[in-house]
Amino acid sequence: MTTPTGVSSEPAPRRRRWPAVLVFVTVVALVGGLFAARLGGDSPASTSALIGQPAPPLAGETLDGSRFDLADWRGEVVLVNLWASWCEPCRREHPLLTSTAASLGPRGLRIVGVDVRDDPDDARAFLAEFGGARWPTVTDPEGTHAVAWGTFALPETYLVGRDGTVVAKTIGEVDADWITEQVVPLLGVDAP
Amino acid sequence: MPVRRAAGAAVVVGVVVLAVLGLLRAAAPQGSPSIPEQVQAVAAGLRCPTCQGQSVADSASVLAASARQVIEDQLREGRTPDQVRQYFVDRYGEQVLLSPDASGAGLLAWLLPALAVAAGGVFAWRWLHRARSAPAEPAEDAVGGAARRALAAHRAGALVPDDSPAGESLREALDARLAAAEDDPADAEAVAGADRRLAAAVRRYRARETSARVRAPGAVLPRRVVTAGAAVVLLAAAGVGVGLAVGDRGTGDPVTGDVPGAADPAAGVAALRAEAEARPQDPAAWLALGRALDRARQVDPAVEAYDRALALEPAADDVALLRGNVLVRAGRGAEALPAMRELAGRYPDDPDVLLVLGLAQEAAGAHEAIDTLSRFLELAPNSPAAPGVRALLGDR
Repeated sequence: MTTPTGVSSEPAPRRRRWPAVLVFVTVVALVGGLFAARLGGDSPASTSALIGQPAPPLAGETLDGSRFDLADWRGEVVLVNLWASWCEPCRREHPLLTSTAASLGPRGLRIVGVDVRDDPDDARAFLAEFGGARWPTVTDPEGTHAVAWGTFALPETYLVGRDGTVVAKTIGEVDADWITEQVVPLLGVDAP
Repeated sequence: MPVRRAAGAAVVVGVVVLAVLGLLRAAAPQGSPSIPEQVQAVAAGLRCPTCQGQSVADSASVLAASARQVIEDQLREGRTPDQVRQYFVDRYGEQVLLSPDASGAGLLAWLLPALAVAAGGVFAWRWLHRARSAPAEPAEDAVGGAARRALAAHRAGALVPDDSPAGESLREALDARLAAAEDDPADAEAVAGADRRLAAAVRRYRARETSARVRAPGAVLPRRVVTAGAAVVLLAAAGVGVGLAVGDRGTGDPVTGDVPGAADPAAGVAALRAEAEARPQDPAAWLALGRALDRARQVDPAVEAYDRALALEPAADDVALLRGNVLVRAGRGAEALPAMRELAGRYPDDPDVLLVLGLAQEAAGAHEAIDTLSRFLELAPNSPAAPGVRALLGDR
């Protein structure tokens, strides 16, 4: 007779823990997923916010002292190559650009260089090493053209289509496959 | 109880008000910032576009400077910071923004911390509230009701207090309540007082029952355990932090001034002494013991431990410096003088060595103290010890 039932001991309701655990796990999973998506989607190697957008304006003085304006090349397929003489990968990719100019130039491909934050004399010496300039190069002493094109690092090369929009971009050295897959189809088959 | 609750509510409100004021102040526009300030503000919110893992030789980290140039140019042309940010987003994509945009998935990143804080607050409030509302003083009617029910149960033989302390006081409360009613039923105040006492006794008695059977969530014991656990975790974290800070401290770091105190240095000292005595050939163990003793301000044992460490590893200049430092702080700078002179001969430009040497010279009354300490001030004008040294030099 020692049970204190008479004192109407209302038992404290035992709270179930699993809803809280569920909420916790869900939140952790959501946050983790968010971070994973942000970090994983961070590779801009082949993507650029500019793809499908009109090419940024590119006008200025060239290494040989004349003026260049990309708008004058509207209707052409253009490779815009950002480089600098102090950039080692730029040196490695230059022969491929030269041979591309030689092989695809007759089919209508145009190339323009942007010499980013460089000494013009060094840049001219760089081009002379490869047998002289075969295409115009716009000087970009402050790198503002590079930023306008969304450049992450040098070298970078953008492919501009005939309608003046950015079609593709490659970060780092241009490789032959990218030329074959991205550039050649834009040129059509009108010439050998 | 109402006073305590009111005080608790006041503290919560105060904290919230402070937090909101701080946020408002932090977020408030600081007048009209200059262009460089705006450039800095915009640039600070943009990810370095060139930090893509390339080596410095291969990549153009100078493009970060170009980005700053573009920001400045555009701000000077009259664009707003938001427009400038949009310019970068158009070219580099959303990920160029260090803080995610407050829309779409980015909104989640903004809201989740706030939601987590709110949920944590609600959880903590309910937890504390539940724990407190259980023993909270019931309203007067409820007191009377509980007392009457207990009395009725007792008369019916359903409530027989056992021999526990709670049962004992319940029995006394029952007797007192019966006595109050018998003495003078008209004395409502006495009866009410006895009611309150009885209700409280019943509650304690019941709590004894429940805590003996099941630990209701939020009951006294788990809460105490949680509190103690949190304290242990905090102390451990503080201890590890202090240990790391001390462990990282080489000769290049300031050695004077107090190490942020651990909660109880004595406990650590005992463990470290046992460790050193278990490995008497390990200079690191003696060094650790010396540092702990040093922190505990046990000068003589600290010097002794440092001496043991130095005997095992005579080339340990940092230990020699620590030894000199503890001697100087203990007012026994003269003893430190020979070793500090020798150290200073090899590290003539180390401000810490100069500081300890200078203080040792000062303690020994050597007149070179002024030169040494002046040199220290030249080399480390912003050292935490500098003001004290200046005062010392000013006195002479």
